[in-house]
Amino acid sequence: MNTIIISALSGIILMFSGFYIKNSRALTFISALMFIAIIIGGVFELNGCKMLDGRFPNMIGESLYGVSFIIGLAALAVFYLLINKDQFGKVGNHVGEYFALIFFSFTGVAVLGQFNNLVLMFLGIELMSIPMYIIAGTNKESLKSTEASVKYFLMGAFSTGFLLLGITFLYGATGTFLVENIDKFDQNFEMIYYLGWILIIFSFCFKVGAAPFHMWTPDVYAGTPTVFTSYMSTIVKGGSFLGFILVMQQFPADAEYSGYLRVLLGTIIVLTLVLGNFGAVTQNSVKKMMAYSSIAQAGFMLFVLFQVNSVSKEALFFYTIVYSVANFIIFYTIQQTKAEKYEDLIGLGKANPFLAAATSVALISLAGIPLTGGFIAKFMALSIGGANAENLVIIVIALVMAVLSMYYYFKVIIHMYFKEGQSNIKTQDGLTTALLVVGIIVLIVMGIFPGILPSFLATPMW
Amino acid sequence: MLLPLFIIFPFIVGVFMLLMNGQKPQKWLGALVSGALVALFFYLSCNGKEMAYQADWFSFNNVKTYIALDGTGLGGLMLLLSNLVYAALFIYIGSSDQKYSNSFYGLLLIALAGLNGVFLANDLILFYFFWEIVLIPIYFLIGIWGKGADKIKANMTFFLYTVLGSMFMLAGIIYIGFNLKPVSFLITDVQQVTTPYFSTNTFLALLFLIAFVIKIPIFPFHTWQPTAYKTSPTPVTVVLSALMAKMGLFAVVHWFLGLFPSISELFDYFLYVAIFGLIYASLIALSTKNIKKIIAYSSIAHLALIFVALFTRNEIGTQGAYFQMFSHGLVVLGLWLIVDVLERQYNVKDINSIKGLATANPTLAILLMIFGLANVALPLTSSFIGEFMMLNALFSYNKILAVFACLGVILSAVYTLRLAGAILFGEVKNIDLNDRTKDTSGVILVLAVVAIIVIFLGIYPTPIFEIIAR
Repeated sequence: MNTIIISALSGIILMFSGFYIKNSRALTFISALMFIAIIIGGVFELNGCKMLDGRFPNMIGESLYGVSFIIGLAALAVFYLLINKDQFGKVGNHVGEYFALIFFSFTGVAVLGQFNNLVLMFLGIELMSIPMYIIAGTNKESLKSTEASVKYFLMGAFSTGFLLLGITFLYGATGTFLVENIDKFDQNFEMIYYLGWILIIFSFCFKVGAAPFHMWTPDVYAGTPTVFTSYMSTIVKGGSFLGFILVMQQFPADAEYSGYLRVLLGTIIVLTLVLGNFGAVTQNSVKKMMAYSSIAQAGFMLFVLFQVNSVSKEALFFYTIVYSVANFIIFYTIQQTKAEKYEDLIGLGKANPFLAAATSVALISLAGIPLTGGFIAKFMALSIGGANAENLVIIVIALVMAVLSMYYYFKVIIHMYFKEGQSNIKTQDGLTTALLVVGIIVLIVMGIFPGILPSFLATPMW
Repeated sequence: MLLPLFIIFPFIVGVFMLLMNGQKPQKWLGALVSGALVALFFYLSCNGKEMAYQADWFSFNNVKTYIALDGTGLGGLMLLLSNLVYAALFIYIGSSDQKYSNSFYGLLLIALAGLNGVFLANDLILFYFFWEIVLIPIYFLIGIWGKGADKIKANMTFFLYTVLGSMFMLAGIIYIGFNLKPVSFLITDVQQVTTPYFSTNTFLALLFLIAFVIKIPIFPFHTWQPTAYKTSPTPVTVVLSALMAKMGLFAVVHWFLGLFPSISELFDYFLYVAIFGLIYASLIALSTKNIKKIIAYSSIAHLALIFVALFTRNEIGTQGAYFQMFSHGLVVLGLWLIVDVLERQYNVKDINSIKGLATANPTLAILLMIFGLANVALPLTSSFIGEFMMLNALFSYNKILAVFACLGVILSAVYTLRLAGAILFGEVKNIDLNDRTKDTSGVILVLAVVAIIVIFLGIYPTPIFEIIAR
């Protein structure tokens, strides 16, 4: 509750502050402070101090996991804002509004972490998405950005239709919107009940960019100004997954249809991995490669849904944090080098060894190689799928696809280090260097001491 | 408590050297680290110190993972080999006129940390962890310092090929860990669930085997190897052939045969393929003129014999294979270093580049001959002990395999002597007899020490068997 309120208030404040404060850096720092306020609010909530306690008993649940997850996402947002502090001003003149939109979107994420009612879940998803449709089109000079916005909006509206229909079906079969009663369906409406589930799964697949509902991702990610792509592919995706896992945990794991669900999920995973990775391999644009890579990574994250329990929730949290940090670093490099193609990265290893090293660590983490958190994240996700013997084939496919992913991630490293050429990327300022160091440390510490992060989940501090 | 030093010490020094990239190369630092680790090994093994270390790491999905290190037996021997080879390698680079930066040394040391980890790990996840870590520094080493126009392609092939193998293994690990649910990933716990299970299911065991044979490499999974050896800078080629190949063989012994003892009979068909590969590689070595390729293919042939001997499940054969793993590491180290000297001093590319080395540089010629003969497994060299034991065991195991293996030995003599004959004897060609400017005494010293070890172990192999027996 606290996080939702603070986030929404922050959005409103920033919307108006845009009139008075024109300095984009100042706005960035204010926003970062507000995200820190969200973290503090979240911590208070974890410890039982809630604003507006008990006024919406059927709407907001008491998910400590959701709150901790939102705290994690807010921490990521602080990192995101600070590392990109010089980029927002370059997009356009309405910087205050961008931040307002980011906060409104984050409000949706916060709602997705705490809903207790399918209607609120719907609200959360829309709240998260609609600001993103606008943000995708912020670069009004660029036709691609406008295209991204329209495409995102149309596709999003489409998935909203699925979601609403799914919720309606579930309501029809169960007579309730309450999440905890979702599994108490009327036997006469069995078909409708499961159809409702399938539609909800489909709509979430849209949101997280899972195949075959991934089509919007490459164009939208590539068209959106890079600084916002970075936010979209990490925090928004994390929020979508949070909602996904919280609704999926109500699905009766021992129901006779759960086998079919596994088949459905398995198919989606395989499709996502194959289309995402093969899509990324064929790209010449680094940004599009990252878009497809985010599809491929979603394929791995979907593994946590095979059995929703505390372990898979831990895994999702871990994956989101590690994946997001790596993505922030890479998108930062893409912005600094203004890299359209791989060739634009040539010589970075010599011109700015530190940035190249940080990018390499991030890429190695995304590729899932040990010593980085990316390996542990993939290991955790796959191990949840591994509990079912039938999933072995899917796991093998996933890992073969991981090898394919190394091909395109390492292509960046090849261009940074192994090819001869000049690059004139200047060094970054002290704060960014410090943030990059923090990013590297997070990625490596998560790879060596993976127990740290999950231990924060759902544990009150006092 | 001292055992983790084998991993932590080179890793920290390696990272430190990476960070001081721009400065004057600290050539002695690497030699100091690996030399100190060799000393530490002897200190631990001679004083009868406890060669095991264990601590909690993390648990996930109710399966616990430990930091479990164990330096006894074959693992200890390989530990000694890796640090010994590294010490020789660092002294060699330091004393020759090669210009490598600090980051080159740093990456090599990080690879050493990973190698030591592989040979020490007693926990399946930890093993996989180190197994993969070795690849990253090697990838950068070949990519940045490699030679030849096709180095990027060769490097990528090498990397993806070996990673593909590892991923199959990871799938197997995940399946074992979370479906068969051992108490922990410690080898003893994993054995308890795999031994009964794998008498009925071979598919999973195959996942592991593929990872290992790619790394060794065994025919037909060897295709990445010759180009990778050719394009790598010499120190990396040494690490690849002397040590990383041993990772694969060690994994076959420790993990494959350790986890699936009952299933290995079904893999006998694989031995025929391996022996075919042995003959095939020998014939290629015989038909090529490129010196690096000759040694690369010779290496494939020798490793195939060790691989086959491991599966005889015979005391003599296994001991011989262990011994030969150590010996091959030293011999191949000597061969590569000599090739490096030839390449830098006389511009040698193939066996027709120069003639009459015996006249021009007798010391180098003698050393080349010693390592060449060790490669042929002539008595008095360490290779003879191992190869004799392996062939002996193979003969009682399967006569057909033994016959073809012996044929491989003969072919090995042919291509090695062809190489030596072409370079050493005849009228001096393409060598400037007056050119004495390049000082090689340091290099010669390193090679001589290694040659002495090879001969010493050929006469008195007991110390190695004592390490194995622990």
